[in-house]
Amino acid sequence: MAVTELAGNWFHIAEAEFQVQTSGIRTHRRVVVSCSIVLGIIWALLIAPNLIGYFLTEVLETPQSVVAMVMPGLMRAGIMFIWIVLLILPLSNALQEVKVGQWEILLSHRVTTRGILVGTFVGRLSIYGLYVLYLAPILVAPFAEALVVSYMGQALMYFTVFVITVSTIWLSNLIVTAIQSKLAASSRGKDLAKALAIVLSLVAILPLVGLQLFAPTMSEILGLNVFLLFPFTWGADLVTQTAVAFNGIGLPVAGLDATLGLNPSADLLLLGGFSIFIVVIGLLSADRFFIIGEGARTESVTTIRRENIVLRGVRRVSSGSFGVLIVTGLKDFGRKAENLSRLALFMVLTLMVPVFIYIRTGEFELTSVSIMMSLMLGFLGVQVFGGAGFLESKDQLWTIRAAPHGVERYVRAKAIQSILLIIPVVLPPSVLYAVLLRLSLGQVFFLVSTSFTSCLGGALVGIGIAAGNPTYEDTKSGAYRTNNIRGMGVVAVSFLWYLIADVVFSMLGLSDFMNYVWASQTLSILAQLIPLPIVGLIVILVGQHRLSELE
Amino acid sequence: MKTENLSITTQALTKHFGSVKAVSDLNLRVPVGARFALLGPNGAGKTTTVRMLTGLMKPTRGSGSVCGYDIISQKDEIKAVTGLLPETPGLYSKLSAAEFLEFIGALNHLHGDVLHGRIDALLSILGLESRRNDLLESYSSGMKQKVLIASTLLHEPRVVFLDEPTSRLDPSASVLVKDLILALAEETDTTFFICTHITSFAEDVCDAVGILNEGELVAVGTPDTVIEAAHAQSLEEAYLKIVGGKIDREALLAWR
Repeated sequence: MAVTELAGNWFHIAEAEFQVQTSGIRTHRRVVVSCSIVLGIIWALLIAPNLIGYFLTEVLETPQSVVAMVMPGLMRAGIMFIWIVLLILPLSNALQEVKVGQWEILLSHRVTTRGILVGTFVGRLSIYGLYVLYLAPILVAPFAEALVVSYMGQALMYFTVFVITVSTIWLSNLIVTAIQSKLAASSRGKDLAKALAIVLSLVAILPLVGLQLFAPTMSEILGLNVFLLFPFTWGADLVTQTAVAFNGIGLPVAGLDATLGLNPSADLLLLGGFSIFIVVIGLLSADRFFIIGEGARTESVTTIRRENIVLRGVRRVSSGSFGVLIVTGLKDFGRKAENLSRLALFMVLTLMVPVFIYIRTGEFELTSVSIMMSLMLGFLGVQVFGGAGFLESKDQLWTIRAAPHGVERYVRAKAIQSILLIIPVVLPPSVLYAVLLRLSLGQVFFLVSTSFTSCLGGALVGIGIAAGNPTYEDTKSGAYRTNNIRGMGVVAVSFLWYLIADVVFSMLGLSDFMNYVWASQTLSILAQLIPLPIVGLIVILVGQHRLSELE
Repeated sequence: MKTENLSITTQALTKHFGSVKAVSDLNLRVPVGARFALLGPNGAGKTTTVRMLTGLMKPTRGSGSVCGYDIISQKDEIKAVTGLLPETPGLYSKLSAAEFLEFIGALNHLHGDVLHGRIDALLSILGLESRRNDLLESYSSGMKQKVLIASTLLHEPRVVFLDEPTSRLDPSASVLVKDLILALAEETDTTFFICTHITSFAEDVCDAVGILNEGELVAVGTPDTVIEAAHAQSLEEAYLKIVGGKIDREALLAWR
C-alpha cells in the first residue's frame, strides 16, 4: 500500500488554503494570480518608481533634503500601517467564520500539527504577499527615487519589507490558530470571535484615520522611544538606514542613529531575532494549538435567570402574543456578543465623528453636529439592526413562514425592538454634545429627536433590505455585502436629497421656497433628516412583502 | 370527489425549479387521523411536497387542500391548523428551550397561562424539564430535535408535517417520538404526514406509505400492500426494489 510522504503534507494544505483564499476567482485562478504577480513586479520595478519620482520632482517639486527629513517618520507610519493590516485583517477575516472542523479531518490523516501551521501560512502568504507587492513600492519608491538609492540599496529595502511581511503573516497565522483553538469549540466562543472581529476592524482603520487627521502629531508620537519596542519600528528604521547608506546624493549617515534611537546592526538583530523567535515558538507550540474540542457535554452552559426590568416592562405594556415576540427578539439580540460589539463600534464612531469635524474646522456648532451625528446613527441603524442580526438561518425563515401572518408579525416585532434599542444608543452622544455645546433644554430635545429619527430610519432601511434579501449569518457572502452597500447608499442619498430638491425647485421657479428653508436652522436640518424615516418605512414594507412571497 | 374525511388531498400537484422537476403530478389522499409516510431518497421531492402542502411554496401547477383549505388561496388558514418540523433545525441559539417555545407559541398567537402550561407539559414529556432554561447553543443535536418536535405540537395542530423527525435522535428518543405520534393520532385524530428515509420507522408507525422517486409517486398504500406489490419481504426490500440503489458486491469494491 502506498503511503503518503509525511513531510510533504504541508504543501497539500497550503494548496487547499490557497484555493480557499482565491475561491472568488476559481474559474480563472491561475491566469488572474499569474498576471497579478507579473503586473506587481512590473509595478514595483518600473511603474511605481518612475510615476512617483515624476510626481515628486516635477509636480510637487519637493527638494531631496525635505524627503530625507520626513523619511524616518513616514517610513515608521507606513510600515506600521502594513504591519497592522497584515496582522489584523487576516485575524478579523478568520474570526468572522471560525471553523475547526477541518482540523479534525486533517488530524485524522498522517499530518503533523507543524504541517498544518506551515501549510496554512504558505497558503495565506501568497495572497497577502500580493497586497504587499502592490503596497510596498508606494512606500519605498519615493524615497528610493528622491535619495537616488542604488539598485543594491533598493533590493535591500525591498528585502527588509519582505522579511517584515513574512514574519507578520506568520505571527498573524499563529494568533489566528491560537484564538480559533480557544474559541471555536463552542458556539459561545464563535459568537465572541465574531464580536472580536468587529472590534479588530476598528483597530485596523484607526491608524488610517489617524494618519489622515493627525499626521504631524502621529509622526511626533511615532518618534517616541517607546516605539522602539515594536517590530514594525525596527523594520521601518532598517529601510530608512538602508536608503541613507546607499543614497546617491551624498546624504551623511552620521547622526541618523541618534534620530532613530538604534543603529542598523541593532535593528537587524532585533528584526531577525524576532522573526526567528516567532517561527520557533510557532513550530514548538503547534501541538498545543490544534486541539479538538471536547464536545457539547463539556461545554459551559448558560442558564437563564429572571427577566430584567425592561423586559418585564415590555411584557406589561404589550401583554399579548406580540409582546412575547418583542421580548424574545430583544433577548436574542442582546445575548449575541456580535450585535453588542457592532453597536459599541458605531456608538464610538458616532461620538468621534463630530470631534473629527472640530479638529478639522476648529469649531462646534449645532447644525453640523446634528447632521453628522444623524448620518452616523443612520449608518448604525442599517449595520446593527439589518444584516447578520435579522435571521440566523433559512430554517428559521421556514419556521416563521409556517405561522399564520408569521413574516408580517416578525418584521413588525423587529421594527419595535429597534425602537426600544435605539433609545439608549441615542442618549449618550446627545448628552455628551449637549454638555460640550452647552445646549438649552429645547436644543437637547431637538438633538435627541433628530438623532432618534435618523437611527430609526436607518434601522427600518436595514431591516427592510435584510428582509428583502436575507443573508442569514453569512457575513462573507456577496449578498451580505450588496445589502450593506445598498443600506449605506440609501441612508447617504436620503441625506443628500435636498441637493436634488434644490435643483428641481429652482427649475420650477420656486427658489424662494428653498431659500426660506435654508434660512431657518431648524427647517434646514429637518429638510435633511425627514426623508430617511419615510424611505425606511417604504423599504421595510417592500422587504416584508418580499420575505413573505412564495417561492 | 368527497373530501369530508380527508385531511390532505392533491391533484396533479407539480413543482418545477427551472428545468428540474422536483415534484410531478402528485395525487394523494390522506384520511383524517392517518399516519402517512412519504418515503424516498435524498432529492426525491419530499421536502418540496411538504412545503407546498404547508403553504410555504407555490406549486407550478395542480392543486391541493389541507383540512379542506386550498393550498394556494388559503395559506394562512392552513398555517393555523398545521405544524411543521423542518428537515434541519432553525433554532435560536441564544434563547433557552422555554423561551424558544414561547416565541413559537407567540407566532401562533398563543400567550399567557395556556402557552406556559403547554410548554411545561411538552418539555416534561420530552425529558427536557431540567434543561428548560439553558441556552439552546449548549444542546446536543438530539435535544434540539426534541425542542423542535415540541414547537411543532405546541399549538395543537390538526395536521402535523414531520420532515425526517428521528434522523438526529438516539434509539430511546426515537421510540418516544413514535409513541407520541401513535398516541396523538389515536386519541386526538391528529393526522401525521412524515417524510423519512428510515423504512423501519415508517413500517412501525404509519398506516399508509407512499414512495416518491425523482418527483413521482411510484407506490402508495399500506406498508403490507406496498411490500406485497413489490414481491418483497420487508418495506426496506420493497423500497430498494422500487427506487433502486442495491449494488452488487463486485461493484462495491471496484474503486480499489
